[in-house]
Amino acid sequence: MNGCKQPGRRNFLRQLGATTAWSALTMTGQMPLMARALAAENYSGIDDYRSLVCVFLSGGIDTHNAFVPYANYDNYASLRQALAISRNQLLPDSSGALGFHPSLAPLRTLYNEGKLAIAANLGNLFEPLTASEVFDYFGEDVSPKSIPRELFSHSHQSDLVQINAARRPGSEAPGWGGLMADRLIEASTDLSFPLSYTVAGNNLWQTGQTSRPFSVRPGRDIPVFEHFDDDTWPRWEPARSAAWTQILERSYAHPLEAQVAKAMLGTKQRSDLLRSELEAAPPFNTPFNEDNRLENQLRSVAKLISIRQRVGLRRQLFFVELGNWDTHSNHLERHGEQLTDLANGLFSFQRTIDELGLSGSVTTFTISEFNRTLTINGDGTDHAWAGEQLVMGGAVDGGKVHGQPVDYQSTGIGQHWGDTLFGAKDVGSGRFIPEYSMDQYGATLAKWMGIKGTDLATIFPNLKNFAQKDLGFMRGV
Amino acid sequence: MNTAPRTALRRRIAQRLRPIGTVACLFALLAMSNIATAADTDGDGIADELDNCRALSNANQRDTDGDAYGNRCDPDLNGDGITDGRDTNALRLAFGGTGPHADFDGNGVVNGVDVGILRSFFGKPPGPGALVADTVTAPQAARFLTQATFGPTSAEITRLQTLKTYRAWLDDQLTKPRSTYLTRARSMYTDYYNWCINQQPPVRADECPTPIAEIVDTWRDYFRHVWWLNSIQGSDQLRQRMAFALSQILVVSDKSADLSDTQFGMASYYDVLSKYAFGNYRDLLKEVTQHPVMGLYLSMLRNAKADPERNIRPDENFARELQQLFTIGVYELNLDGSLKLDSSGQPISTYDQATIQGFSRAFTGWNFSNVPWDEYAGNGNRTTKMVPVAAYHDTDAKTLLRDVTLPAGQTALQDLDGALDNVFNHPNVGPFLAKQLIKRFTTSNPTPAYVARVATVFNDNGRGVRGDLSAVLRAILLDAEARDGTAAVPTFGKVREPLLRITQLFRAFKAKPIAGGDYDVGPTVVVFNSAGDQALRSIDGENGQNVLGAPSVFNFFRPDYAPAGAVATAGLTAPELQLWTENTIMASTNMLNAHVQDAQTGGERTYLDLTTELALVTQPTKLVDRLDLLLTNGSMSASLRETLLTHLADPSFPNTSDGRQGKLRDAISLVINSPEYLVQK
Repeated sequence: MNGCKQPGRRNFLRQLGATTAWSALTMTGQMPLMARALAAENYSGIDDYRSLVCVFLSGGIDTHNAFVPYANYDNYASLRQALAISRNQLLPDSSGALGFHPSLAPLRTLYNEGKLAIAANLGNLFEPLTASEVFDYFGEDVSPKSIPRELFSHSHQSDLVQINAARRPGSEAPGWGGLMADRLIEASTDLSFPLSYTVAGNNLWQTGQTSRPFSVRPGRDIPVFEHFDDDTWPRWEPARSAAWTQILERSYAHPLEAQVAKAMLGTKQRSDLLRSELEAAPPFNTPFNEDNRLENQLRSVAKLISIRQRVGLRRQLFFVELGNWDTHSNHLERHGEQLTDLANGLFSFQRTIDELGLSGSVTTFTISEFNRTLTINGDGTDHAWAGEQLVMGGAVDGGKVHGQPVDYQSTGIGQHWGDTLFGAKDVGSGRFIPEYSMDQYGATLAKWMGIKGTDLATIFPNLKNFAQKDLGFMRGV
Repeated sequence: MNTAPRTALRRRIAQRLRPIGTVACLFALLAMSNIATAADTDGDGIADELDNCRALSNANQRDTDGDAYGNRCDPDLNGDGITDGRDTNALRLAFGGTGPHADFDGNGVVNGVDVGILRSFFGKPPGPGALVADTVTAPQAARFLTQATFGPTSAEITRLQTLKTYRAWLDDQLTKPRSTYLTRARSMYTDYYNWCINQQPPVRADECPTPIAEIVDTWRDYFRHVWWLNSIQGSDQLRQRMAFALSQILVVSDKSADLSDTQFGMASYYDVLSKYAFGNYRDLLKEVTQHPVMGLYLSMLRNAKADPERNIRPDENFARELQQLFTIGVYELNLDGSLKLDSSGQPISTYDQATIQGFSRAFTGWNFSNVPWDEYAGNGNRTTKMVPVAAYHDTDAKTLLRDVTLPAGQTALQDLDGALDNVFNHPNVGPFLAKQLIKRFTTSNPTPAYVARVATVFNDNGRGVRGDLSAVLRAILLDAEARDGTAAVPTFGKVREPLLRITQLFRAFKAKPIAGGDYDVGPTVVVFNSAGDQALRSIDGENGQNVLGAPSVFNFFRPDYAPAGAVATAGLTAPELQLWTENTIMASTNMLNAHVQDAQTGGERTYLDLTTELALVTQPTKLVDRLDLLLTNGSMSASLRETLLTHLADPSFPNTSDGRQGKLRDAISLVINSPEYLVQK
């Protein structure tokens, strides 16, 4: 236990006095005993700092136009037709195999610096599949294979990419980030502070069995309950605040009332703890653009990282979201604008992390519910499956593509349900079965965070179905 | 048949002739003693206060002439308020046929049984009110209005009580003139323009809006200004509340770059939701499908037939979400909303990728009404229906749901109608929509039986019509489960939506709109607003919700969302809690408290007219009673009441005007931020 987090500790003890120890601890949801019960492995010995930043590209990012085959351009161009990025606009990598979208210049810089890697051909996948196995499943709705349901549905695939397991309607399966947080909290030196932070609202990825993210509004300090705080003006405000606390602390039989009371009390307690710490965070020199939705969120993440020692956290998880990737129409213009926000946002964040001297300790990665069809619908693309993701940071084996990219050719090799197939793994119109599963991707990141053998298998239940347990994009694991 | 005058006549007669008997006394006693379980005199499962025949069992509530009297107790065929020889003659003419009005027992034929029923009524008035007195208490009225409007007011509570029954209030609402959106938004724009160009000294021309005749649409937020005015002040509360519910199912959003500069288009779209709020869902689906705002949002606009040589297929966006979100959902449902399972216990998909492709082809060939297919979309009209363009329509045959085929050679309009008929007639629509709408009005966790009853009405409104939304709405609000609430189902209720927390506060305490209350309305136009970051036009930045401003077509929250922990473990849902984070909790509380504690006349924030309540501060129990009625519908717990009374007696309040104001404002703040209030029950 180190001594530099006294303000937080004092606050915490004051809170304990104000309520009961039990409620304050369960509000943070991160009791050491609970962590011990969940974890098969021991994490109390962790003494370095690492964090993961999940960038959720919601709506389904088209990666075909983001990372274009530069050497093998003609196949791509003949399939993408009017939506193909012309070759002379692409930004080739040093090998000349890969061309970045013209809006991705900042990402090519990071790639060339070795701080950015591309993980290829990923998607929600429970076990390796062939096209004919998927066609049988499409026809019969049942399969001897385990196949993700409701492929191509935003909501179902968004859930799946965050939890790696089929979710029954109405149930909240824990996310793979949350399951990590449940265990890694053991490494914290001050259990009153949450391990996970979201700048994009509630999400399944950070929802564990016991851990919940704390929500911060991008670009803002943590607010107070303005009319329910300790102000002494007007004179009756302390009495008002006390009355409100009394109302919230009552026990409620109605489950929704109980949940509402708990959420409000938890907000009061957790925000009181964090507010002063965050306000004390030093400013950054790295310039940033607050009008960029992603950059604004990531700047808040950088601030939360900068107070890690004050709050006694050795592992942290962050969640941000960049939406609007669902480019069914006006694809070229919208996709270009989206990629600009993505590239500038990631670049400025990496430079801020470099400024903090934490390049090797913070890894940023993207997820998205699916890629988009390689064929087009005129001026847009539709929902598909396998795609690329980005991994960024000093611990990343950057400057290269990890894994075999999606394999396709320019002319049809067959048909299914009237759809032309453009590769062995195409299930129609350029919707490709992934070669690698999100379990493999997540497990590679989790391993770097220190999650060990048995827990890896628990958190990533499909990992056992794949020979390659580590996709190799993280160094030093 | 026009039944309105007839119903009114009957109401007058029923009031005059209402007999007072033991049943009526029993009912009155029950009402007075506030016993929560509703009486059911005839034991048909329909509580008396909802039953359209209270003394005669008719679980199906069949009412073929739609006069709110069930057929079982309505042998008054000529509608003159009395069962007599004229009705016997009418029955004779109908004898041996299928009715329907003379088929009192609903067995499909007018026969001797129906003659017997008429005979038993001879010389008497028909209808449910003939046996039982109608009473709605003030708390019952407030509770009903919480579910059916943007928040109860003293005046509306009195109005409902004067009308005697929920049914009568619903009937009354059907007759209210419809609040308009586009017309009002355009006039607000023009009003500001006129004010702006006549400013002395003149302002720079580019600081004023472009003359309305010269624009396609606008980014200015007049649609939302109108929404707040209509929601808070409109007399057609039920219609507007239904439009708001529908706006969260048939979602469009100006978060999409295609719609951010389309505020007149949004107003026009909301007019459609509002116009069909009591109409037929099939008609509404067609209007929505053809609306350019939906066309832009889900890219059905300018969706062209395939070009196989270039590997171009039709756009699947609208085809998919129409099925997944607007009509049937992804899994087959039972009538009660539960999942149908296959022999291996798995849910059964309603559609597959091939179905989506069939629909995507059916929906080809639609364009703006005013610009050719290839011309600049920015000039496309956003307030008039899209039009078909034959050259871009796929005329091959298409296979849709349940292997229904649209034949080759149909026009774009024929295919659109055929596709909508196909999806609208899928058995999932009733339970799917019933469950979603129930969650918007009454409870997040309806019993399967409640869903089934509402779905049954969707499937057939009693007169053989499928998709009658006014009948569905009645079924949702008049259902015994909705009326009995937690007395029947302990988990009944829903977390209040963020916007409804604001409208309820504003309505309950007669909030005053402010003249010139935003940067682009003239000083002669009054609007509701808040200050700074809390401005209503962008209030979702604070609380996560703004009308027609969802993050995606999946709305602000998903219908099956359950926060991890006790709610999820109990198998319950709480969709609205998907928006609840530390951030939005604090921001919502602060915003509402700012209106209660800080707003003053003459400020930039809508202020509350608390005159009535201020007069009660010296009688604290009366004040608490009033807040209980308006905010918690008479259900306030003894402990919350005690906390309020203790606080109202706190010595820190000086015995001055400020102190009295402080007491009142604190009492309101404490109630609107209490779990008992935040969960509408």
